[in-house]
Amino acid sequence: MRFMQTDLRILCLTMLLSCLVSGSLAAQSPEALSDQDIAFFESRIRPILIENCFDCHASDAERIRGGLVLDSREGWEIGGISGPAVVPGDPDASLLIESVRWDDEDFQMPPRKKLSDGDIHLLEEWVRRGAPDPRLPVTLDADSAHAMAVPGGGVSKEAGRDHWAFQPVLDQDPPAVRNQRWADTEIDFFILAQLEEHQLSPAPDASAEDLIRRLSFDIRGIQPNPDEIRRFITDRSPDAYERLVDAFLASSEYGERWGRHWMDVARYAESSGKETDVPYPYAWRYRDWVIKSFNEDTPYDDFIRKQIAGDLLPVRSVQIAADHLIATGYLAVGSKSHQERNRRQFILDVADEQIDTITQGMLGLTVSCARCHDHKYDPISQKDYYQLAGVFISTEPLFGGVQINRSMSSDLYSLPELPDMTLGMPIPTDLYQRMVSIAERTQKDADRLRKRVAAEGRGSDAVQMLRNTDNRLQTIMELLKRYESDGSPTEHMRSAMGCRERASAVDAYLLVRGELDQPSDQIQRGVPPIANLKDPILIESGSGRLEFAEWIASAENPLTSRVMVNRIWLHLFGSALVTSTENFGLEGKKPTHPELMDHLASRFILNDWSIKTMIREIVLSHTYRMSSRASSAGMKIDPENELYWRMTPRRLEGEAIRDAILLASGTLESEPPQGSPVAWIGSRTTAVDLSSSLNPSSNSRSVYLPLLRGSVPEFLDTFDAAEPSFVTGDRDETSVPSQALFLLNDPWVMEQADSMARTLLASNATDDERVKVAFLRTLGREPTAVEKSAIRSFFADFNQLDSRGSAFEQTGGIPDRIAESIKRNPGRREAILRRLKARGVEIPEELDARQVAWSTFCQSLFACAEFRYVN
Amino acid sequence: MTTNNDGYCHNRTYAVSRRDMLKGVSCGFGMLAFSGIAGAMSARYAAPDNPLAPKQPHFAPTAKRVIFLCMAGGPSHLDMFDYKPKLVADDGKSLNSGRRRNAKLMGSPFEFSRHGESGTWFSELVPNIAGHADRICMLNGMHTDIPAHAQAFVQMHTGSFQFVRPSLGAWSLYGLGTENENLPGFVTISPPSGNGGAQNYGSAFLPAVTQGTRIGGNIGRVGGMRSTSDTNVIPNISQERLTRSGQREQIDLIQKLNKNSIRSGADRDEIEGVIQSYELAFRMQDTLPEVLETTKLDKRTRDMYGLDDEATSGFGRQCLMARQLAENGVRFIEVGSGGWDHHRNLRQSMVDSCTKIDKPIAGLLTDLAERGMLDDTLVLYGGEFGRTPDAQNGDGRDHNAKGFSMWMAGGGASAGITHGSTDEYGAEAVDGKIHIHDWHATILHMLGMNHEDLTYQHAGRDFRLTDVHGNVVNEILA
Repeated sequence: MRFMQTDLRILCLTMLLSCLVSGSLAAQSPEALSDQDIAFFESRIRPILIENCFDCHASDAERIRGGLVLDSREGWEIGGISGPAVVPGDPDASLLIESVRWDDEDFQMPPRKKLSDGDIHLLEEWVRRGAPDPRLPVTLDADSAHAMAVPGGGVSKEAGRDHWAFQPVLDQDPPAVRNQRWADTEIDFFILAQLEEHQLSPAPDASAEDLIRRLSFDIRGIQPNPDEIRRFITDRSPDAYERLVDAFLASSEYGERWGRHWMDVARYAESSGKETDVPYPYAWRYRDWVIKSFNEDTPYDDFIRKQIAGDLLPVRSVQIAADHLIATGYLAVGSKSHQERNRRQFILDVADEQIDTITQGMLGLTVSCARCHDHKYDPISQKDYYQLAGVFISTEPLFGGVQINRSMSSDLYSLPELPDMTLGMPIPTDLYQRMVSIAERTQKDADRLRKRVAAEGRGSDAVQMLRNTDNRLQTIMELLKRYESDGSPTEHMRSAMGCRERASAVDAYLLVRGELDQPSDQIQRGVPPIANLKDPILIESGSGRLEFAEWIASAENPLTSRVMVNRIWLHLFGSALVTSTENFGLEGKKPTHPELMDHLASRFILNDWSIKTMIREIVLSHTYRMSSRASSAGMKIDPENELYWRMTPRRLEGEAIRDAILLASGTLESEPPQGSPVAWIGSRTTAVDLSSSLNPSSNSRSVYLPLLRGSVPEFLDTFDAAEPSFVTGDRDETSVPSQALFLLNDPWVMEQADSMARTLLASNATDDERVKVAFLRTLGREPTAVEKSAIRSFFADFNQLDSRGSAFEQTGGIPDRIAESIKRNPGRREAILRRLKARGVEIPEELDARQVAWSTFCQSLFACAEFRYVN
Repeated sequence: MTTNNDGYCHNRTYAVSRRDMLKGVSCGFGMLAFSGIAGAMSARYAAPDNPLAPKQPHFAPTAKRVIFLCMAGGPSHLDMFDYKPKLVADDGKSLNSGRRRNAKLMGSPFEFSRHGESGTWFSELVPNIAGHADRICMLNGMHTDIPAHAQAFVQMHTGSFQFVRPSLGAWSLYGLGTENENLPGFVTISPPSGNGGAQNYGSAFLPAVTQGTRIGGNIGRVGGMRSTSDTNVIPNISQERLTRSGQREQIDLIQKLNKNSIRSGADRDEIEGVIQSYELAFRMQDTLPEVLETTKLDKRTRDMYGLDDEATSGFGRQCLMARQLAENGVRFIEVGSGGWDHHRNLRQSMVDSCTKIDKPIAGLLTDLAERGMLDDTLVLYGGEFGRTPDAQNGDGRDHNAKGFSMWMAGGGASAGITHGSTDEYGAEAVDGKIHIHDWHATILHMLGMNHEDLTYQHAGRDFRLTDVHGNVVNEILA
C-alpha cells in the first residue's frame, strides 16, 4: 500500500517549514550533454575553477573551506555549508555566481582577488546553460569496482535468498503437546512442545508477589506499591491477573518504560558525541513523541513510517503535522562529526549513520557493512548500499547547531503554535544571569579586539582572536535568545529536529572502498533488492524515503515484524528468540523457536501491529507466569534456559533501579518534566561550556535525565546504560564493585534513603511494622523471620556502636567546640543536642542517631541483590 | 581536522547476545566466599575467605602479572614498527594485481632507524619507546581473522568473535588468583565503550568475581580521563557519614539479606557476584585511594610519565596507575588508548596519537625496570589489527588483519629481538606468524599455565581460552 499524496493532504505542510523548499531545473546528466556543452565546460569553465577555486575547494585541498568542493559535479550539486553552489539555469539564485560578483561584502570569492569580468560572465553563462558538467568520475564501472572490493566472495543474491529470515512470515499451527492442561495460550504449546521433547517440565507458577513485581517492572519499569500488591494477592476472581495486565498497560508509566527500550534502538541522545559533543537542545521533543506513541499504542507500522518519512505523510490537522515532523527527529539525533570540513564527507557519513540505525534497528540487517565492499555474509551488495545512500543524501537532516568555526550546522523545524505544546524547561535565573554576564564580558572583548584590528590592519594577530571571540559571542547570544529574563522559554524554543527533502534529489556515486576520491558509477536511488525484494524500487522524483518506509512497514516484509516481536520477547523474558537482536542475517543467530517466532510475528501483523496487544498476549501465557526457581533437571539439560523451562531471573536496568529507589523513597516526581535542561548549555567547541550546570539530582523518571553522548548520567552508566552512539537491542549486565560503591556512597542514594527513613519514622507504627512497610515498598514482600531477626540485630549493633560514638561522623553542621565535646562524650550527645535545640540552634538530621540508623537500613534495602533482580 | 574515527566503520555486528555474560551453573567461588561470610558473621569485621587467593600455576611462571597497553582502532604497524623500504620506494604505484589493483601504495611518511644494541627498527613517531629497544620483543608477524573492529577487538580479548567467552584477564585471574584481596584482581582503565564493550573484560561463564573492574571513563566519552587532575577516577570511593565500623554493620545486613535470597531460591551465581562486589568494594575504599595517590610524586616521576604535559597527561596517568596497581598485587591490568583508526589524514593524526602514548609507555617501562618489576611483569602492546600498505582517502590506511605488529617486554619475553615479518609491503605476515590464539597461549605460558589445561566446565563441556587452537611461541621466550 502506497500513500498517494493527493486530497488527503489537506494542509499545506510548507506553512510549517522554516524554509521554503524551492524547485529548480534539474541538472542534465553528463551523458546527455552536447559536444558544444562539453567543449564549453572543458575550455572555458574548468580552467577558471582550477585556477581560482581548487586551492580551497577540491577534495585534495589542504583545508576545504566552507565544506564546498568544485572538483566534481556532485560537489556543487550538494554544495557547501550554505547549500548547493549552483542552481542550474538560474545564475541569480546560484551562490557561486553571487560570490564571484563580490556584491555582498561578507561573501566574496575568491576572497583575495576578484575574477575578471570576462570570467564572471563565462560562469554566469555556464549556469544559464544549465551548468553542463561532463566530469564523469569514471575510474571503474560499478560492477567491476565492487567485484574488486569483495574480499573473497560474500554471498550471492540467489544463495542468500534461502536464508530463513528472508522467507515470508507464515503463521504456524501450535504443535501437539502431552500436558494439555498446562498450555493456556498458543504460545505455551510452542514452548511446551520443545520442553517435552527435551524431557523437561515447566517450572511451577510464580507466587502472586513475584508475579505482580515482575509484571510491574516489565510493563511500567517500577515496582508495584503496597496497595497494589495487597489488592492483587487478595483478589480471588479468575480475571484478577488479566485486569492487572490491562491496568498496567493503560498507565502512563508504560510509555516511559517501553519508550526507553525503543530509545536504545534509536540510539537516542541529546548531543552529537564524537569529538565535540555539540548539544542538541530540541532532541527531547522526539523523546516525548516516542513515549506518547507507546502510550497511545501507535501501530508499529505507522510508528516506522512517521520516523522515516513523517514529513511526507498526509495529515488531517496541524497537531498531527507537528507530531509527524517531530517523529523524523529519529533521523537527526544520531552522533555526528560536526568538525568535519568536507561537506560531502559529512553528508555521506550522516546518511550512513541513518542507514545503519534504520537497518539494524528495524530490519535486523547490517546494511552499512556494504559501504566499502559487498557485505561479507549477507546478500547485500555495495551497489545496494549506494542505492539507499542516494535516498538519504537526498534527505536533509535538521539538527540545528550554532554556525561557528564553519562547523556543520543546519536548520531546524519551526513548529506551529499549538495550545498544549510546551516550549521546554525554564532556565534557573542564576544560570541566566551568568550567561548575561558572560555575554557582556565577551561583547567588551570583541569591541576591544575590533579596535585593534582596525588600528593594526588585517595582518594583526588580533584577527583570529576576534574571530574566536565573535564565535563565542554568537553562541552565547543564541543561548540567550532561548529565554526571557525571568527564565521562561521563548518562542525561539518552538523548534524541533527532524528531516526534510533536499531542494533537489541526487543519486549517489558508488565509492570504491568507500573512499570519497574513488567514485565509480552513479547509482539510481531507491529501495535496494534486499531480503524479500527481488527488484529494486527505483525512485524518479523525491528522495525515496517514503517508499523505503513503506517497504519496511509492509506486512510482506519478512524482517520487520520478526525483529520487533523478538525485541518485545526479550524485554519480557530477558533473552530473545534470536539472541543477535540487531542481526537477522546469515551471521546472526537462528531462532531458538522458529515456529513461535513466526506465530508471534503474524499475530502482531494481524492485530494491526499493536505492541500493547502483543505484550498482553505474551504476559497472559503460562510460560510468562512460571516461577524463576531452578530445578536440577533444568540446570543440567538447559542451564541457559533457552527452552524456557522457567522464568529467567533478570537484573533490572539502571533506569528501573533508580526509579524504584525514587518510588520507594516517596520522592518520585510523577509529572514528566517539560523539555530538557540540555537547552540551557553551550558546548565545548564554543568555549561556552555550561554543561556542569546540568542538574543530575532531578527526581523525574530516569528516561527524562539529560543524556549527552559525552556524559551519560552516572547512575545509568554504572548500571550498564546503552551506549547512545550505537543501536542497542540487548544491554550488558555486569556485577562489579563500582556498583556496590555507588549504592553505598553516592550522596543522591543516601538522600533518597533519608527521605524514606523520614516517612517511616513519621508514622505511628511500631518498628516491626515500619520494617514491614519498608520491605513492601522496596522488595514487594514481607520480611521473613530470619530477616526480621537480622534487622533487629542490625539496629541493636548499630545503636551499640553509636553509644560509643563510632557508628557515624557526628560533627557536621554544629559549632566545633560542641562537636568536640560530643565526640569526647558520645553518651551525652542526646542531652547536648537537646540543650542546643532549646537555644534555637538548628540540629542537622545527620546527627539524629535514630534517623541515621533507619536511613542506613533503607539504603541497605536499595543495595541488596534482591532489589535489583526480578524473579 | 581531527580524525577521531570511532564511528567510521560499521563492522560491529554481534552474532551473539552480550547478556549471557553472567550466566552459569557452576558452584563457583562466590559460594565459597559466601560460606566464609556466614562463618565470619560472629567474628565481626573479619574479611571473608578470599575466593581469589593466590593459586599455584601449572609450572614456574616467568611473569606474575600482566599490563596490556591496548590501542583500540588498529594502529599502523607500517608507520611505527615494521620498516618497509620497498613500500617507500614504490610510493604512489598501483598494486596492479589482486582485488586492490587500483589502490596506490603509500610509503610511510615517517623516518625509521635502528635502535639499541639489538638494532630493532622504530619510526620517529615513537622515539621514547625506541629507547627501550633492548627490552622489547618485537612481533612483526601477527595476524588475526577478521578486519573489522568489533570482531577483531573481541577476539583479541576473548579468543572468539562469535560467542561470548571469558576475557584474557578473567582467565588469568581464574587461573592464578590475586595477591591483594583489597583490590580487584583485574582492572581495566578507560576501555572503549564500543567494540564489544564490557565483553572485553567480562567473565562470561567464569565466576563473576573474575570480571574486570573498570576505572576511569570510557574512551570516546567526554567523561573519560583527560588529565592528571581528574579526581573522578573512581567515583564514590568514600562517604562522609558512616564510619568504617558503621558501614561494616550496614554491609553485614546487606549480605545477610543477600544470603537469604540464595536460601529462598534466587540464582546463586548472580547473588554471589553481588556479595563479592560488596566485600571488594568495602576493602577497596581504603586501599585504592592510597594506591593511586599522586600528590606525593616527585618531579622526575611526573616527567617520566609526562604528567604535566597536556598531550601526555591523560595516558600518562593511566600508565602510572597501571604501575601502582601492579605494584600492589593486581594480576591483570589493561590500559586503553583510543583513536587509532586512521582511515585518513594519517600524516597528522598518527603524530598526535603516538605523541599521546610514546612518553608514558617509555616512562612505564623505565619505572618498572627501576623498581625491579619488569622481570616478572609482562607488558603487552598492541591493537586489534594493523593497516594496509595502500592508501585510502588520500593519506589514510584501511584495516589489515593479515599482518601487523605487537610487542612484549619483561615477564620472560625475549628481550631485544624481532620475531616474524610481513611481506615486502607489510601486507601479510609471512614468517614467524603469530595468530591471536598463539599470542594467548604464549601469554598464559609465561604466567605458568598450559593453555590446554586451563579449562572450565560449563554446559557439559570444558572450555578454554584458545578453544582448539593456539601454539606457544617458544622462540620468543627468554
